[in-house]
Order: sequence, then structure tokens, then C-alpha cells
Amino acid sequence: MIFCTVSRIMSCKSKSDEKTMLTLGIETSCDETGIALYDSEQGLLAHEVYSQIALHKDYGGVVPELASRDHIQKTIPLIQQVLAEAGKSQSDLTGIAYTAGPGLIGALLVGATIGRTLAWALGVPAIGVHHMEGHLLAPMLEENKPDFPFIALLVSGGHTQLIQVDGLGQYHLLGDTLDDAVGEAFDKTAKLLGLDYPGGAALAELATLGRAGQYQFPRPMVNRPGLDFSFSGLKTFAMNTVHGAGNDPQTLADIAYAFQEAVVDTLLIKCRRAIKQCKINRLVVAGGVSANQLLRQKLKDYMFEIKGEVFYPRHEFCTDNGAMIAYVGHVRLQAGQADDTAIKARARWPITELTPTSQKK
Amino acid sequence: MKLLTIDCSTQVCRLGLAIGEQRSEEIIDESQRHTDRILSVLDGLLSRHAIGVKQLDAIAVAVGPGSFTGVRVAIAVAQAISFAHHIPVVTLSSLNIMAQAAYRVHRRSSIVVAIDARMREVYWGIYQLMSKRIMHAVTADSVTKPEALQLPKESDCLLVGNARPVYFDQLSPTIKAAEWDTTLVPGVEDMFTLAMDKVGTGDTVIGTVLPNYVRDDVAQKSNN
Repeated sequence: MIFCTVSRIMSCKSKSDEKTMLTLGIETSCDETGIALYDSEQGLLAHEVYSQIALHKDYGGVVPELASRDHIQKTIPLIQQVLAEAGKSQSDLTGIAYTAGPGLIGALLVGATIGRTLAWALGVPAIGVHHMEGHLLAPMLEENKPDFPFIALLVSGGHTQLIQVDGLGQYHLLGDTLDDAVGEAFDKTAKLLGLDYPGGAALAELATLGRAGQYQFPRPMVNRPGLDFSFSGLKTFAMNTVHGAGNDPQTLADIAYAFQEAVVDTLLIKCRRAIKQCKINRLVVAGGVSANQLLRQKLKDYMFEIKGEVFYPRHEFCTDNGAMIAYVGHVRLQAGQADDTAIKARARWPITELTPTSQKK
Repeated sequence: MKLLTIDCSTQVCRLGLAIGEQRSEEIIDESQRHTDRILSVLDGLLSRHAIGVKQLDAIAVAVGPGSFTGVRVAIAVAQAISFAHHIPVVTLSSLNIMAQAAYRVHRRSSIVVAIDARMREVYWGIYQLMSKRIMHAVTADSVTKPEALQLPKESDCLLVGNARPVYFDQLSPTIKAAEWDTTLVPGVEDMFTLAMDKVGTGDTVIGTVLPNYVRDDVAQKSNN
């Protein structure tokens, strides 16, 4: 009994000395409502993602107005759920981080308005987080974290970028897509193959049944210098191939195989080039497409070969989530950064505009 | 009674604060982004009356129909404040607020609200004065083609809203010839009146307040 009392006093003392911070993260930039709680001592306490995939399925893609309509219904209940899971209440929050961009403006505005207003009403600081910085730093939520500097390959339905990361907020864009994002190319090709929206993951699944060498797809941009990508030509090539091929399931699987192989090869070639150019042998792969098994395997083999390291977020943090937003917000708030009362939402926001935490904007 | 009102369903964002008999209003016009200013204006409004946000007894919010984004911004602000301090929220139809304004200005008991809904349609609401000088909806607010509008049969009603100038050519002769006030602007006092009544009857919610878009066919399903 005495021991319990002493330990309680000690834990109270250490908490008040170190000022435990509890940051709520809110992500609503596209078709997922993601909420998480990040504690400065215990790390991630709870997180939930509500996916709208079923809602948009019948439309063959994300309908921005429907996405916004869903976020306004789901955000507060999901915050309530995450607080309950962590055994916390709103009055325990010491800061709020919300995704301020880039993304669908109407969808962003819902999370941004709720997040910024909640912070104002509770009298705690708020920060608008860059969605892609969230993805970039998602591997920091794992036990095995990369040290700075590292090269990051950001691959999702909206982005295909190679970034040199020298520290938090120190990002140099090495390469970008000139047209479609890699995830978009996956989803569009999946649609051609008759797979349901969003078919990227289903295409990868179908490819496991495909045979090597049946089709040969081009590797776009690999013969040109530089680190930029282009996937629209590959998508057109896929379209022409599918149209001439008929509906035989094995043929479709062979096409999926060849398409995926071409995409993964292209990404690997550019990563290799970036690693050599920057002389950095730590690689982070993040964003929805980072869940692709073939990509993971090929990059792992290559990094092993050059005695480098590759880092991924866990599977559930590859796609959009609140945990990565809570984490980035926590780091920036802890460094003393905080926004004014304007509700920040930017559909476009180049990641290179971000600043290190020591330099306030 | 300390009541905050929020209406961003039109081009201007109106914020109101009623403390007992005291009334204050703030307007953020269309030249400014509502989301840039709304919290600092709210902050100023509360500070001037030396009250904190947690001392509010209720929040009234216009839930539409109107600008989809504006309605969501107002609702998101109301949801967050309500959630932070367990403050009850009163939801008000934007058309009901117009009808209440029409009663305040014209003292008429039958009001039809007809507002441009864009996409060649009109938001349409039929309102009637009930007890306590409160306008109530006779039928649910709706969205319809201007040429399909019909007046309620028996009434000697006043029409309010901008549908007449915007869709003049499409309106039926009866609607055109009816009595209109096309320049009526609702004020925060109309929200105060409606909200006080609803608070009195306990018609409030906490946390999850939802919009009433009225227009729901916002996307076309793909064929495959």
C-alpha cells in the first residue's frame, strides 16, 4: 500500500516535470477519416481509420462532395472512440494536429475546421500538418526508425516522389511524376482488367497468378537522366495490350504481372539512381503503394546488396491515417511551433515549402 | 442565457452572441475567406463580453440548405465547441431563418421562401406562423425546378428570396404575379428567436450535428 502511494506520487511528479504531451491527430484529406492520439512518453495510444471506399465504389473514383459529406459525419464520433480507447477525455489533450493539405479542399476543410476549433475551444495549440510529411515520417512510429539523412520514395494514388530528407522539415525534391501518380496508374490499369475500384491491390493479387515473359511492358523514363517519373504511357500501353488480348483469366493475370513488374522495375531503377547520386544508403518507402509486396521485396534485396537499410511503415500506416499526422504534429508542437487561429487548408502545397522546426514560418 | 449563433450558409458568414437582453453581431463578408477569420472573430466577440467559450449555454447553427462548404464549416465549428465543453447545439434551417426574418419585417403569417440553389433549381420552403410568434415549416424544405413551383392553395402568402430575379423567365405567371420581397436579409436576431424557442423545448443535440443539404444528387454513378 505504501509502495503504491509512493509510486503514484513519483509518477505524478515525473509527469508534471516533463509535461506529458497528448496530441490528437486528424486526417481528412481524401477518402479516409483517420484519428489518432500520440503521447510524448508512451507513443501512439490509439488510432482509428474509417475508409469511404464502399461509398465511392459505384462512382469509379472519389467524389469530392461525397467525401466531405462523410467526413463531417464521422470525425467527431471517431475522435470520441479514440479517446475512449485510450481512456482519455478531451480535456487531457495538450495539442491538436490536423492535415492542412495537400488534398481535396472540401474534405480538408472538415478536419481542419474541427481540429482548429477544438484546439481553440480547449485553449491548446494547433498545427496544420502536411499530409505527405505525415507519410514521409510514418516509419518513425515503428521501433526500428531511420536516422537522418535518408532518401524517401513516396508512392500513393496522388504522389510519386523521391525526396532527400536531411532532417525534420528539410526536404529536397529529387524527382516527381510528370503525369499520373503510380497508385493512379495501378488503379486505372486494374479497371481495364475488370477489377473493382480501387483495384491497385487487387491487380497485385492477380499478378501473383501471372507468368513471367508473356508480355513485355516499357520502363518509362529510365533511359533519360534524372529522377522524374512518367506513368501515363505505361497506362496507355496497358490499355492497348488489354484491348487486343481478350478475356481469358490467365491472359489478364499475365498482363497484370507484366504491368506490375514494369512499375516496380522503374521505381527500383530510380531509387538506385537517387541512392548513388546522394550517397545515402538509407531508404524510406511510404504511401499506399509502399504496401506492394513485389516493390518491398525488390527494394529489400537491393538495399541488402549495397549493405544499406530500407524502412517501411507498418501495413496499416501505408495508407492515409491519423497516426502519422498526430506524430508530425507532436514533433512540431513539442519544438514550440503552433499556428494562429486561421483554419489552414491548401489543396496544393509543395512539400519543399516546409521548414525545419527551429525556423517558424 | 448565453447563446452563440453561426450561419455560413450564404456568401456572408454571420456570428451572433446573445447574453440575456444584450445582442451582438459580427459579419465576415465575401471579400474574406470565412475560415481565415471565423475563430479570431468569435474570440473577439466572446472577449468583448468577457465570457469564455465554455460558459456558453447553447450554440445555434444554420444547417442548410445553402453553400455546402459554408454549411459544413459552420457545423464543424459548432460540433467542435459542443464536443469540447458538452454544450448543446440547436439546428436551424436556413429557410426557416429567412421565414422568421420575413415575419419580423412584414408581420405576415404565411411565408414561402424561394432561394437560388444554382444548377437551375430553387430551394423552396413553406412556412406558417405558429404560437409564440415562431415560423414553422409546413412541409420539408425541398429543391425543385423554378417552373415547377406552386403556391400553397389557400394562403395569402408572401414570397421571399432571390429566386424571382434569377429565374424570372422560368416562373409560372401565378408565381411571378405573387407578392415578393426579393431583397430580404436575415439577421442574427432571427436565429436568436428561433433558437431560444428550441432551447426552451429541449430540442438540442451535443456533438454530432448534421447538415441538411436538401440536394442529394451530387454525383452520377459510373456504368461499370
